[in-house]
Amino acid sequence: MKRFWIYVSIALILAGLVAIGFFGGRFVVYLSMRVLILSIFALGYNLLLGRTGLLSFGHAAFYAGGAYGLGLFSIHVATNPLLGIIAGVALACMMALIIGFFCVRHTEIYFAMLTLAFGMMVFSLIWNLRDVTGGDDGLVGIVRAPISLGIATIPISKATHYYFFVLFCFLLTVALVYRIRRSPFGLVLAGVRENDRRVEFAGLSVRNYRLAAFVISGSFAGLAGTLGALLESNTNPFSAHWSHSAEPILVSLIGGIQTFAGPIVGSALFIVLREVIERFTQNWMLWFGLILLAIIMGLRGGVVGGLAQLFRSEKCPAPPSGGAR
Amino acid sequence: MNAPLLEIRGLSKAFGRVVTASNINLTIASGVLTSIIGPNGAGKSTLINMLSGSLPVDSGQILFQGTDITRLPIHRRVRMGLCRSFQVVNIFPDLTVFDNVQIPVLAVRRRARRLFRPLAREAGVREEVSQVLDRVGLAAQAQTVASALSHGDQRLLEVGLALAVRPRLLFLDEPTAGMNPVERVRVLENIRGLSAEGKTTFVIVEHDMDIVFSLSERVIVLHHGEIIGDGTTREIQSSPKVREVYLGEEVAA
Repeated sequence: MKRFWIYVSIALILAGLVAIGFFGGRFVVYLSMRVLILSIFALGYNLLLGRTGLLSFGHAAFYAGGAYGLGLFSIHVATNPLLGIIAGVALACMMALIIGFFCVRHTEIYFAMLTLAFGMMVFSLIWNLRDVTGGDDGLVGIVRAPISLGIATIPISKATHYYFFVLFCFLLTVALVYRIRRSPFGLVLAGVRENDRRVEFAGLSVRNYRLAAFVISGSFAGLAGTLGALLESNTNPFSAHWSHSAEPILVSLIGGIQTFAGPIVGSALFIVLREVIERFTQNWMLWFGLILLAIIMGLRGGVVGGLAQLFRSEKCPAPPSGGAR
Repeated sequence: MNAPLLEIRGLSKAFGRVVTASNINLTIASGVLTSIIGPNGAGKSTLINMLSGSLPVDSGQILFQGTDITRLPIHRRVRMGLCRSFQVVNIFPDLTVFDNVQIPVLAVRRRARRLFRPLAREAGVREEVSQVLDRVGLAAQAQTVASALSHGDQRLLEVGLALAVRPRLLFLDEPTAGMNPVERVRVLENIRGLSAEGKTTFVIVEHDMDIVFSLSERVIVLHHGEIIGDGTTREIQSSPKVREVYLGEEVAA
């Protein structure tokens, strides 16, 4: 019965997302794309935060890696967006591999600080290498050329067309992350979060699994970056700034880091709330901070986790205390 | 393969001026249920930590089935078949009992790296997990979250986790600490049965003399980082030196 309702709601959400592409106004479509892109960023990120239990402050570097990888590729090599995305994700993946190699040797606060340090290094590199990256101007004039697949070409220059491409990438990310979470590998990552020592004594190298999670989440950040660059037609050096690294952390926390849908719900809330609040006041951060406070203190486990708990306790008045089922 | 299961040559370790292992030479033969005893601070834990890879050695050599493992990381030693359990409960608290055991089983079957294959399809793994749970008597609690188990059951799970990697040599650090008598008997019967099967050689570190003398075929006595007694239960019980430093202390206490 519960499963049935999950399928129904998934179908409804999908229908809604497709409807936005067909009937949504320009602004709604643009906002939805930003939600989807942030969701991709956060879904990948949450494999590291919620699953593996590692807090990284440096994932904006991989987002920027994707964006600049795609930008440079499309300006200097070829404008085909598919190849550009592959180039961008590959660059982000390489960066995550190199940075991760040093970071996963440490845990907790030391890991977080190292990722922050590397993230700031990447930011200042982008800022200072004017000849390559355009410095504070970023790379401009990234065109959304049609996607040529050999037999067919798909135009994505119009916003609604591009929307469906972003939606496709989002669904792909959802499917991949879902499968990773349910795989043997995903269970080992949960084991690393729970008790890394015990994983070691299961005969697995904790460091390698941490690195793999880091690289996977960095690659999804890169994918989000390439889509973001195509959306805005330019790259922004501040996409590498550490404050941008906070976004996937915030939205995962809002939605619930121990849930699958948490990062998606969090992304939608984050972007929509911000747009709404910005219409009324310049100090959107103040109001957003208050809302965040309410969510974190009021709903344990984020919006998705909190609601799931409420739903469960309504059904059976005595909440299961975790005893024998 | 005539190399002994485990051979320790000239192993030494000191923390500052406190010597916790001085020139230990030891051979552990396959299939002999061995116990290591000694008063508090004798260096039992240090010895196990060095053998399992948690602590680097100062000098000396550890050979496992003839291969030098002195500097290998923990997980490589486990892969070779050398594992341990812990004195303090060391499990995955927020995972179910089943998932707890599933992690080492996946590791030993080399399935842990599978990224996209659903866990539910690993039929062989599920079967092996069930076998391990049956063996330690936790089959009924398979879907319980580990942190909700009683302390004794958590200790059983701990033993299960260690057994799940199919070790050739398994160190059990006070395996029955904090258990009630029923659980204790179950664990001891388990150890005896598994030892008789011959796949795993057990080395038990214990305080409890009853357990040591009822179970072991060989007893090693440590004191101040040195081996002061090594022999059958009877030999150890009648050794004047051991009685003086260990049994004597206990009687006096």
